Amino acid sequence: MTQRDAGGCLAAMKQLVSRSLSALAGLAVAGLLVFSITAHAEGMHGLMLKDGWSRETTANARVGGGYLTIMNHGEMADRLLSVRADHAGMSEVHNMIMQDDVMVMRPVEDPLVIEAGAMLELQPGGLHLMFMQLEQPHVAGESLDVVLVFEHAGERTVTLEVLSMRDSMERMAESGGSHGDHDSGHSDHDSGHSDHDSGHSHN
Amino acid sequence: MLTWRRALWLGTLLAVVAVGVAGFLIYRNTQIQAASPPTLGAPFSLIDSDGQPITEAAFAGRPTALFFGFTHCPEICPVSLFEVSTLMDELGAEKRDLQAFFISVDPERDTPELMGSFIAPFRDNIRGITGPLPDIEVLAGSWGVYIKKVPLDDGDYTVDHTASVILVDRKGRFRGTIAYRENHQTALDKLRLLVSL
Repeated sequence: MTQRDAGGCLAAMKQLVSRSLSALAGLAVAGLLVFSITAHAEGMHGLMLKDGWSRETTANARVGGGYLTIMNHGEMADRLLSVRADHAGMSEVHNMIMQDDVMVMRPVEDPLVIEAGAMLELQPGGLHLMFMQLEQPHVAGESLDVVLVFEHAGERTVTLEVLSMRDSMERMAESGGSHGDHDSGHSDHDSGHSDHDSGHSHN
Repeated sequence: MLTWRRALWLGTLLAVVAVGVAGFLIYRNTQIQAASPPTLGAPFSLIDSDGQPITEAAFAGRPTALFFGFTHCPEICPVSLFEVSTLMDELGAEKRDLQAFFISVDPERDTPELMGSFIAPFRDNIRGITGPLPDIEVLAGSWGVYIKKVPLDDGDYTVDHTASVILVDRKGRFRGTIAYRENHQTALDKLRLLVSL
């Protein structure tokens, strides 16, 4: 291939790309482009942390819970290696299972896996952030910054809104009656995303 | 590694079911029991959240809701206490002499002071009970409540426990349970019925 041919080829490709982009722009109304740009802006590690909240605790409480949704818009799976928060001496991922009316709660020892294109919900009744050795109580109306350390995406900070008991009850009611059913660690609420087995062993 | 962890989990869960099943069978009914309710419970001598002695006499003659839990519990315990207290408030005048107790399944950490602090928002409706672990175990067992202290890898521990609220009538007879996150109206109806018995 001569340089000239290559140049022509490049021009053709540019034109193709240009046309494709025009077509794509037409679809922007559908939100596809927005999604695409977002995903690319976040590169290979397109993790989105959202809907972070926590429940208020009493003044001398030693532990508190935290909830959020992790969406992986990236092209590769990622793993949640650790959690830390300034307000707690120790922070971990725990899982709660109701077994014949008995509450069983355990630290999740294997890192949670968030598959590419998947969504992981940490919600009441299942996987959650567990804050121990609280340095200060969770106060309704305040917020808590929590750092999640991912294998690929690195350190990501998520802000948890602290809800009053009453508001947290409403939040739990909104999240539906599927509590105790979240131990697979994944949800298929988002139809655009596949529901992979996360690979962690707490079910 | 995945396999043995799964096996371990399954084993743990099966053990929980096996040990607890006898107790659960007694009160799995979601309906409140009207005919020939069993008399459960045992005498006890423990400490309440004000640091005062408390015995089974505290339950006598009053409709009573019992919840076994602990303060190192981020969800079920605070949510259950909130729910019970809210229900009692909603009963208004119908609440009459209904009372509720939060009994620690982790008395090694749950001092009367800590219990008092934990139930402070619900003080009008709920009293805390703690005391020596063997005595708590006897009390829990007498109500068919499962308690299991589980050591964790980091030296800490947690306590598996039955999460239902136990309903006892004025004569000390077991009348049913309110499950965790039971339908609010159903739970309200159960308490109303309990008070009327």
